[in-house]
Amino acid sequence: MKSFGIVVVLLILVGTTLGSTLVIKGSNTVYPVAQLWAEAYKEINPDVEISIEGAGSSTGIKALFNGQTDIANSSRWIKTSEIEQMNQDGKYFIPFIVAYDGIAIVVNKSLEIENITVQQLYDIYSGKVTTWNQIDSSLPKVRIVPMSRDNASGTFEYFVEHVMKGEKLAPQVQQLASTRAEVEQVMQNRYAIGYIGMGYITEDVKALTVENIEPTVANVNAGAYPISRPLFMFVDATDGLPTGIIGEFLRFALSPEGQSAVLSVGYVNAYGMK
Amino acid sequence: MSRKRIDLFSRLSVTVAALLTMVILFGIFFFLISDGVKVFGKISLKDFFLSTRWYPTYEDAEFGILALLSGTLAVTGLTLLVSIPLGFISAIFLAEFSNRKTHDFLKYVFELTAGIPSVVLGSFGLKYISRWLMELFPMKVWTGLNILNASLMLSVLAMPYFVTLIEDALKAVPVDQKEASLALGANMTSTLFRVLIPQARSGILNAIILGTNRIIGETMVVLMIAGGATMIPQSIFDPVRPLTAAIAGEMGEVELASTHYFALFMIGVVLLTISLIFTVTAMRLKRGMKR
Repeated sequence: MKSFGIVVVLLILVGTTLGSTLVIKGSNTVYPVAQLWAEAYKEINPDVEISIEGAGSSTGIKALFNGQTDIANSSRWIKTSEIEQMNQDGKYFIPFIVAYDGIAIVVNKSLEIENITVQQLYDIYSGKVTTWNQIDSSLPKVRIVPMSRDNASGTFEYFVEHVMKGEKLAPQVQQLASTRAEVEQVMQNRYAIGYIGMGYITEDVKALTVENIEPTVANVNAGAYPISRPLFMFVDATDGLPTGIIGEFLRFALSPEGQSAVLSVGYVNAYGMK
Repeated sequence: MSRKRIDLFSRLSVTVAALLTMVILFGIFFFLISDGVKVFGKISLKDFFLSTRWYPTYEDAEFGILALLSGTLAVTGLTLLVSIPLGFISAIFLAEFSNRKTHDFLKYVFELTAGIPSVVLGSFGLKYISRWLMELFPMKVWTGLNILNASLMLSVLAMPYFVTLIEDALKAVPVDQKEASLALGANMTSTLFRVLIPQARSGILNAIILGTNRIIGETMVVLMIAGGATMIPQSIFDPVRPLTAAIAGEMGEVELASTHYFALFMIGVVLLTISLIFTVTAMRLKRGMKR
């Protein structure tokens, strides 16, 4: 924690001493693709400093209010409370859709299941169904081990809203602090199930089809995959559209080149690619 | 004259330093409480302390901390059960039964252990202990992230405290007492239990206080590997979400001055109170022993 504080202080120092800097904060889901863009952008403009921090969508938007960031990454739309605060503070933030994210349902590779329905997901995570044979009679009568992200994560919010329809997760659902931990557990535990951003699917776990639709780029783009969402970058447009380095960076992200990079972290492009 | 002045100066600086520490401590307490109690404007005491349902981010949010509290108690209890006996035995070995070389080597090992960052222990638990537990008890362990996993890693964290401080306490017993006992024909074992440990008990208790407070407050390990389920555990293989994990996992995203925000501060107050109650009880015990 202490060293984290020191890093933050250093980052702030770096941010204030160098001339051309861009600060990006927010959603952990947007983080990997923002990082790719930053690297590619720095290759074209080597004198630009870009600092990226993944701390959750709400943190990013909060930082935009405080002026602590230039771009707030968000995996969700702006909340009513945030709109109210915008009115109060006399500020105006605008969103850019920068990519799409599908939420993948992952299980252990050895589990003999290929498809799951949104209703079944709801049953598992609300605790109405607790053993695998209740999902498919050919599966063993073993306890389902559902994994979730922390309630601070944008992926959690999205899952609760769209799969759970606002209903609460059962007490035994395990909230893990990172997607990496979730993948690790699903890899180790033969009866675990988890939901992660499509960008985090690895060889080590099995991504299920949802309502018989594969979590692929094409399916998300076509709007066929049932659990996918747009990813945003919010900027402060109180004094007009973003200019300078912020505008340039966004233009780069939405350019055919930037959009092609989206695919390499498993997300889906929002606009035309190269 | 100048000697007096130096005396005055050192007395003054010591007093100021002591006062400053107290001000900081009470300041922290004050700010925690003043934010924390605001939660009771929205939630009743009973719903906060006696409900197991912790659902802070939903439309119809619930803020019951009983499950979180039971998580903290379960993890702390099991860790003490593992680390105090081990630490005690190691300390006795170091203080009385080891030769110079083994003593120095083991001491070095414990000092190294004390330096392991808790995030490293967490990662180790996540990647290895969790897997081993599932392989070792395939029938019982339904998830690798559970009370046992967290307690094992916390024991690694707490052991150096127990060993070092208990050893110091044993070493602080005057040598002539030990020699007198041995000279009277008592063997090493009865000298240990009749003379050394009773003499060192106040120091031993001190070690236990410090170590336990360290375990209660530890955050990273339990956030990573205690399992994160907001349930009342039925066995040591159940996952839990201790109070510290809830604060660490949720504080970053919480809306300022919301009920959730105040509830997290109140959890901070609860944690502080637990460790205060524990410390005061142990102090009382210690005073009682001296009499």
